[in-house]
Amino acid sequence: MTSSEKAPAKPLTTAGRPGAFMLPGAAAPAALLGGHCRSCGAYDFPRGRFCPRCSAAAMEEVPLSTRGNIHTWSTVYQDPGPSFVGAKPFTIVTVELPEGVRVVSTLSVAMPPEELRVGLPLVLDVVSVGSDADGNDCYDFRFRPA
Amino acid sequence: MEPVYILGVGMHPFGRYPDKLISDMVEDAVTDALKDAGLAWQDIELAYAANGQPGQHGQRFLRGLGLSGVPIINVENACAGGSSAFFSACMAVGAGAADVALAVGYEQMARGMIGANMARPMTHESVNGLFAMPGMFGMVARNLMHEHGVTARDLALVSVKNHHNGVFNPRAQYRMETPVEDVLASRMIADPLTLLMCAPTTDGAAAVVVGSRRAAARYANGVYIRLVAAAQRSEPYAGTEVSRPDIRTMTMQASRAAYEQGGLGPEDLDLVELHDCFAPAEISHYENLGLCAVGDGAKLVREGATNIEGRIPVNPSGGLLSKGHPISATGAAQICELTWQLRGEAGQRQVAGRSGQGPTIGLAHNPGGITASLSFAHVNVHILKREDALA
Repeated sequence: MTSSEKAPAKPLTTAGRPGAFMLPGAAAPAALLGGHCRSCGAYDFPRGRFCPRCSAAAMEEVPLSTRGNIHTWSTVYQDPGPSFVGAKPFTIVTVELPEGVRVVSTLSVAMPPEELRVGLPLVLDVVSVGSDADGNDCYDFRFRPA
Repeated sequence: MEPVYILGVGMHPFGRYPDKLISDMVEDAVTDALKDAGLAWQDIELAYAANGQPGQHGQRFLRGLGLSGVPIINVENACAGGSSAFFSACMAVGAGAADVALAVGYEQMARGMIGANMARPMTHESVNGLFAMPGMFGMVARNLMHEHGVTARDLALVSVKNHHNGVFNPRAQYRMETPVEDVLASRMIADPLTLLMCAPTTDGAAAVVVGSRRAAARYANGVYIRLVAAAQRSEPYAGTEVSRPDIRTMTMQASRAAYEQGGLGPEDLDLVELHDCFAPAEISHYENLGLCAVGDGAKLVREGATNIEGRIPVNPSGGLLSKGHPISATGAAQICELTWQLRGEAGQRQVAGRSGQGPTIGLAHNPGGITASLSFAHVNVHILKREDALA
């Protein structure tokens, strides 16, 4: 985004929640915003009001690590339908972050199956996914090899 | 809770019936179940109708059987809809709200991947294709391969077994043998899942009539199929000890609760109908239901232990892979299969039971749904037992 573009940049919702990630700005790089329970220490993504483990209303917002490793993955050859944005086939990944949180997204770059493996280091990527019905430029997070 | 009995079961054969009315399939399944029970539509005091589509209410599809004024409650619980309707009917009878109740599940589905034709609002999940169920189960398969040495061939063996069983089920969608080479060579859907490792989309209906001890005394003919456990779970917190999407924890907890309720263990089961929506799910659920230790699931299918003739037959009906998976009908159809098997009415796919004298205890496992956080939403585990006298 540059300041000359009129439409506001809008991150998509994740698991029905807005504000799950922060677009890169002048002050800070892009980051996923998770929750950390002040009561029991559990992490969650995206952040809800209550802790997924102890249900305490004590979730503070914390930026999560932008680097993680592939926990599991699958390259999908079937057409996922008209809402999908990107090249096909595409690879779904579950990424384990150092906080212990597992996040599901896709790879932002195509990778041959023989190069994919559990444990492969990945880094957060922010991608433009077009504009929504209100004309906002929408962005979402994916991952690419670190 | 008062004892609850299965009085009658019925199914409209699973398959593709795009030109058939849903009401015809529902009427056929309910009529079969009523006939099986020796009852008439007017005897049903309460009905639960499961469907996964908006607007497909039970009141629309049951009214053709006669305007009896029976109360009808709609149940939507994704792939677990049929067993959720069954659970509800059993609880109503067990609580004394009705002597005879009906659970029916029905579905008419579009071809292709579930939800693929649906335009969705732009969200992280929709633009990344994360609602693609094959992708989710491709990740489950990859996890099994990485952690427990499961191979693509092991996954294929599940499909070979269930398709073989389906050959003997006149109500199955696919009645064809699928040799392991054919399964492995079929089109890649979501690496490592090939087409024949994925349950198809299906049309169909299944119905179960349940009744109280009083109703069973009146209508059952010397063979009593009694509900001995009914356990449910939604997604539990599982930390990071298991993969997310977490296919395991919910089923582990529900099955442990069911075994406790029934005062028995997995070693007492004569057969299992479990939710093999994709081949890796069956291997995982062998372990999650306690049929073997975690990590040993593939060994069961390699050794033939879960064949119809094996130590613990799993999915003698053909399972979802062969019988088909009409979302909300699936859970009710599992109860139909257990009932036929426990009565010794399953024909060429009849299991012998641990005693060799016919099975007495069967378990049905029917999870469903995916929440916005890409986790599995709900699971039902039911255990049925054949008895020669009323409890």
